[in-house]
Amino acid sequence: MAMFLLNEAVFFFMLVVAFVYFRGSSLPVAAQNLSLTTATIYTACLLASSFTMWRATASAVSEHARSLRSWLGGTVVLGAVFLYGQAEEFSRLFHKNVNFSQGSFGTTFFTLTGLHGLHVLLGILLLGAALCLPAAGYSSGRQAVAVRTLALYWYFVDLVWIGIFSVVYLWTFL
Amino acid sequence: MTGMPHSAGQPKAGLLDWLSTIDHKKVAILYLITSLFFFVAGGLEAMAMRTQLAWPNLKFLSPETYNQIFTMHGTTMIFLVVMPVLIGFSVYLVPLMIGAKDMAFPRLNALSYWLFPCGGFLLYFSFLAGGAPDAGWFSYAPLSEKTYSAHAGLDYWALGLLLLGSGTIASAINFVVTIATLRAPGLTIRRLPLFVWMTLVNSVLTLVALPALNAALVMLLMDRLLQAHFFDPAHGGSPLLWQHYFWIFGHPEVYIMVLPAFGMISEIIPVFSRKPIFGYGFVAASTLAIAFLSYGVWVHHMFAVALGRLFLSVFAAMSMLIAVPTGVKIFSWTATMLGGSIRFTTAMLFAVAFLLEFTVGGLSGVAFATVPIDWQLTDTYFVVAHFHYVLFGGTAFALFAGVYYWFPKMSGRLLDETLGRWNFWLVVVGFNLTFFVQHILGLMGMPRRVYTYPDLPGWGILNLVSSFGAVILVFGVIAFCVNLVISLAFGARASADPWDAWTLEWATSSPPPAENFEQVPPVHSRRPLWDLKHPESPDWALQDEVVEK
Repeated sequence: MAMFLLNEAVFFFMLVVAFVYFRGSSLPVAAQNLSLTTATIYTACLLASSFTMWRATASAVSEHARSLRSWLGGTVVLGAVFLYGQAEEFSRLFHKNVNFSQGSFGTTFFTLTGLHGLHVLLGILLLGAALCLPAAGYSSGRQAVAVRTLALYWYFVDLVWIGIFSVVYLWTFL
Repeated sequence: MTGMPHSAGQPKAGLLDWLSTIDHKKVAILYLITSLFFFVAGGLEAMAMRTQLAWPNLKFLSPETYNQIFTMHGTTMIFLVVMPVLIGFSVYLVPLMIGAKDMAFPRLNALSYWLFPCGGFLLYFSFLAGGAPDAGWFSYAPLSEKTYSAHAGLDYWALGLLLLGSGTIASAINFVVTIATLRAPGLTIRRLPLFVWMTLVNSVLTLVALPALNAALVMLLMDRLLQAHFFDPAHGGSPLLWQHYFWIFGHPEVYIMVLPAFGMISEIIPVFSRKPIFGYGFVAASTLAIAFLSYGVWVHHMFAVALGRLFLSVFAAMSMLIAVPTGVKIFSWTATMLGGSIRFTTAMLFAVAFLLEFTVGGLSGVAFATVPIDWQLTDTYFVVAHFHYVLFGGTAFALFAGVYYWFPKMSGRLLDETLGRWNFWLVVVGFNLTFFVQHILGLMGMPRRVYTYPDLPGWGILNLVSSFGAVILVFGVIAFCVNLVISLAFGARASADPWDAWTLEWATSSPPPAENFEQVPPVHSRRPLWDLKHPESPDWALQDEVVEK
């Protein structure tokens, strides 16, 4: 997973660089159309989901099936709330005619946050799979390995979001 | 494949077994066969080009078709031949060389393979879907944008490469984990066979370079399919961004295409010189140096883009610097042969030819590091000559050597040495005739990627020589394929260790049983089989540190 994340880190880094490269021409549109407050709230949800993921890992390692289910479930819910927030933001922007073909802001913003969102979605699906592991006959030991690996991915997705949030939102408004 | 000899006691593998296998040896052979198939496809594309270019103003191919052919030739040879065949060799050899039963993730290994023919199929499907990609294998913007390339060929190119790249990344992850965790007891990192070391470094190089390509491809697809504006200057995009992103991938990529070949040479030359490699530490360390430096030279593909003096100077200096670690290796291989007892099997012939051809390619490459020379010669046939010398004279020659060396292990049969000699000489003569004259054509100003050229003095005759050389090269490749087929059916049976070699893959039968080793030999040095065969003068007696049990 670490090796896979190395590859993903470079991939997102390149996309962030592209965003920064075009920042000159995209800043006005960004400042006018992004909402720092809303984004902060949804960011908080995603960060909270890392906390729940951490608790889930602890439960998996100590083999407490019920708390593992709860913490994993909590992570799924928080991740889904984050995605809902993303979808809401996208839809709001599309209504104002700020889309992929709008210009440098549209191009870079939607690519960067869209791909990140897809990674969150994948994470949620994998979390769903993790919830099904007991039913699939996985031993507690193997569940712990799976959950720990998945946790690495989830923390990574969160870290990437912190990067994106800083470059796209904080840097626009602060 | 049902004609393939099998180790004693195992049922013959049927088609379904081959299609569903997760045994690294079979997956590797699938890689090799599929690569050979695409090599023939790429070779036909090359022959089409050489036919069109044999004389000025021929009309064998239209300009539009020619553009598709040269794009597909480059894309095929790089992504569907060289990268997969090198991965295939690593998939076969790495577990054996480290004394493991298989790769760390056998099913991921199989998936990585299957992404390869799928990506290749997607890429070639473009011929039937409105035309193949035609913007060159590195698809510069804005030519690659929808405005200038409306047909779907470039979408197939980008999607095909994304699929192929995913498989390559998965293989890289697999290699790192395999080498990190499945080494036999006593096989420390400093005792790794150099082929394994090169695979390891190559895998990390892949993990950091391929995502740059993936990012660029995604951005191109966004532009083409969702009307984004990354590279489209009419709406604020930057074609230069594409060049940077592509070459940030592209330069490490050329090292990805050569490091495993260096690994093969590092195994083959010592065995046929009957001497351990000279300067193992230097060869290993210089590989790391190449890997690091390869991320710092990409702008040398962009010297003609008016980037500013400082940029040019820094990257020119770095590009000259990166020649040094490769030079270290050439010296090490040559010094290994000095004083050795050389045995000129076909594998060794190709390995020695590699040293000469790759050096020529390296010299023409380093010439480009001098910016004014680059300004004169960029986008001419001098570049074409350079990269064919390093990729064909280099990597492909090493691959030929590797096939002759490891074919007995994989199949249990020896390749015929007489046919091997024919193969070798036809390829050497054909290759050098084809590509050496292209240096001259480039110096005379012939641009690359042109479907024809004016009847200037010397241009016609040199192109004719080049095309003639290509025909000879084809016969060399035919000799190779005939050798493969005939030897598979009728070749002399190979023992476990036909070359009297020293690494672990030779400590099991040819071909190996399903789980590779009945018993892994003890490893106390870099040449475990030498130690076993020469208990009176083992390598570990020369080491400073105490031998651990």
